[in-house]
Amino acid sequence: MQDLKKNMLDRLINNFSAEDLKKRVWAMTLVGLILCAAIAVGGYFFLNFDFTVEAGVPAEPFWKLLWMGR
Amino acid sequence: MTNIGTLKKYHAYLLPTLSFFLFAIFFDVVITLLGLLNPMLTRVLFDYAYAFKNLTLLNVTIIAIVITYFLYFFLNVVSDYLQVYVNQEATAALTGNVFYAVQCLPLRFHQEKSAGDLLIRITDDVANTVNMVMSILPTIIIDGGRFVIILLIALFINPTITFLALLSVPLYILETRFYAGRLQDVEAESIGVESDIYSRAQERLAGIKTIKAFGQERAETLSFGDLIRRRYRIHVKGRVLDVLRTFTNSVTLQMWSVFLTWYLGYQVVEGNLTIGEIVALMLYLEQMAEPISSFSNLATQWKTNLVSMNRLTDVLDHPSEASLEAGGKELKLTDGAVSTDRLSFSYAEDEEILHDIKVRFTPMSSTAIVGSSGSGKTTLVSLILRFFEATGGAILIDGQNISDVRIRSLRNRVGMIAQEYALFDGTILDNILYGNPEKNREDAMNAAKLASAYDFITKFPEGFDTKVGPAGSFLSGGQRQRIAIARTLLKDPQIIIFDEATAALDPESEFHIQEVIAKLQMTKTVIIIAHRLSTIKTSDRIMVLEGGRFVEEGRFEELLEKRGAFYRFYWKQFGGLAVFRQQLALEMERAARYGSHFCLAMLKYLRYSDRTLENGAEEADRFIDDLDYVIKKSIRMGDNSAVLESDTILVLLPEIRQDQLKAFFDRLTGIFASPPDGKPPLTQDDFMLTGVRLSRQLFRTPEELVRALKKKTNSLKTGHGSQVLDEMELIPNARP
Repeated sequence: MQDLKKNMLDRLINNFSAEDLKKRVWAMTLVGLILCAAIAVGGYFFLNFDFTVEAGVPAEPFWKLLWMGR
Repeated sequence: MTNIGTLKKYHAYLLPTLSFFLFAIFFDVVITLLGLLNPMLTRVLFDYAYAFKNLTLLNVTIIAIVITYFLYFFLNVVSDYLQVYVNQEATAALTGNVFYAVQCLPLRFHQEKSAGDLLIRITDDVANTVNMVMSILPTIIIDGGRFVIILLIALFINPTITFLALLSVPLYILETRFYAGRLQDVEAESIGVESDIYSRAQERLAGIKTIKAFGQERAETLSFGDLIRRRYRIHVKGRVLDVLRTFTNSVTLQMWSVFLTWYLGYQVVEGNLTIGEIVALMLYLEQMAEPISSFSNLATQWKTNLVSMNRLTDVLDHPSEASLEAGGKELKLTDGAVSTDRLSFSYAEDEEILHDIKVRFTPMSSTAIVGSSGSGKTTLVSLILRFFEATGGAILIDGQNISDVRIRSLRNRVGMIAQEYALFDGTILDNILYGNPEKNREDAMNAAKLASAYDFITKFPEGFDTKVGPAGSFLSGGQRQRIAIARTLLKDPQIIIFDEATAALDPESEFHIQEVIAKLQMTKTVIIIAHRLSTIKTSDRIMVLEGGRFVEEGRFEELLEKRGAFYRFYWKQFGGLAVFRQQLALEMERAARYGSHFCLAMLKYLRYSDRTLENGAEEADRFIDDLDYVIKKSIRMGDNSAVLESDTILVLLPEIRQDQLKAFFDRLTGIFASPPDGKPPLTQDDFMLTGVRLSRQLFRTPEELVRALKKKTNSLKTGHGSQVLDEMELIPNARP
């Protein structure tokens, strides 16, 4: 078990080059951009989603509720 | 350099990772927007989902809140990851540059600054600078953007009140200026004390043996405690100032808010504003305080971190050693003759160390430079390696002025072996190959053979792969020195300088180094700064430096004959009884440890009292000095003599047999009988010579031995001239 852990650590340490690091950073940036895109797309649909509330409030896109909440 | 210039200079370190940095800022903007969204969603929940009992809206809003939270979290992780990467890349690049710049600084800079000071520049100052550079852009973009947007909305709602709200900004600026200046002074003080702490700790731990030997552990801790208390006071001062700044800013904000609330209420009473407008204005103006506060913090941070930036600029912009890598010519060696032409040097304007030196160090020979401490010996050889630049005249190597030569090229061709040799943690092989990466194991072995280091290295179980420990601490002084010599010889320099290289070594190690010098002086230009008699005696030429000028030069015997500056130096260095005692103690220890033997002789001048009565004590003493001088001239390298007291001279002769001692006595008697300089001869009635060969450990201290020999000499009948005794005769009642 100890050997396995040592091997893993060795691999992690020794196989970690500057080039690898740059790849990881790019991958992370991509994740961030995907999240932002998800926020944009999801947000767009979400904010334009029609809700019908009672007591005289007509069907409104969500963003209007947010703005009115302001 | 202006502050903006400084900022630009360090911003350049962000350029290689600028894209990632901009992405991180972009993500931060999205995070800020997500952060703004959450209160709005909560409001929708209360005002619509709960109020209208709308389950779909409730579910959707709750899901939106959860998703927003996770997105906020994940985007934060991404942004932090990128920022850490950018920070570490910039820190690595800047640290590397500062470390390189520190090494390229002229030696004088290193002598003036403590190790702690430079260490802080390489670590803390770099970290402060990178943090500062990284926080400017996000603050300007995120807080600046927020401020502008809120300001525009507020202006749209009511320009007058917005202007009134903005009147608090100059107050903020004044407060920030007031405190930032003071905090900057505290930061400078703090860095100063921090470097003192580093330096003290480093110096004291390096000298731990001395501390232990003098039992100074407690005293050192107390004195270190003073520094710690100083740091404590400075940190408290800084903290108090920072708290005061935050407090003052907060008071300004609160007072201004109270005034605005009153004014807004007054406007409502007057009928100029609606309630809705007041609520909106209050909310936005409150939000405007946050970026203002961020800018105030940034300005304070800027002032304090400017101290670190300026400290780095000091190092990075300090003129480094001229033409270390580029510029200048390549040094072309033919035979390695070194000469100086009216060379002068001074550290300070009014204090010249070397004056008008004109000297030539001949190839394939060795020259010993001798002189008292502070006479300029080390300065002269430092100038040959261009550790300092000459203030007047020139140094020429094979006719080329070294000022026109690339420093790297010069130092590759001139080797220097100093008293404090630096070995680095690693194997013996690593240390020998240091600075010679193109050389291989075999080259290192050959260099070790030449440096008389091969035998002891191969005796280690791991041979050349033996670890030397931090600063070579696993090896003895002599072994370290020989490895350092091997490292220098591996460069194959044509000119080799030994700067007090044997000063701290035991006789055995010194002997090995003597061997090396003897080999080298056949093929190289060897310059030796030495205090050891053995080194000086074997040099082809001796030059005496006094007060920054060469006053004498010649071979050992010639200079002694002259009885000038060298003779005075020689007498001071080797004629003293204390030095003699040390050497005798060493011989006794060698005899005890290795079973070696040595002879101790005593000359007693029997007419000393008569001479004092006739000519005075001063003349009698001078006569005894002359006798000692005659003896000094007759003994070998490694032998020594000293006046024990007014009428008695001691002579130490290591590793000779009894018959050789007898022969030495005969030779000396002959010289006394017919002195070469026409002085009156001494007959066998005038003096007594006794000597003994010692190989057993009969005496514990040199004093005991000398006392016993003196007692025996005094008990002998006069008129025999010289007598060689058995060591057992020195012990009363002992059977021979």
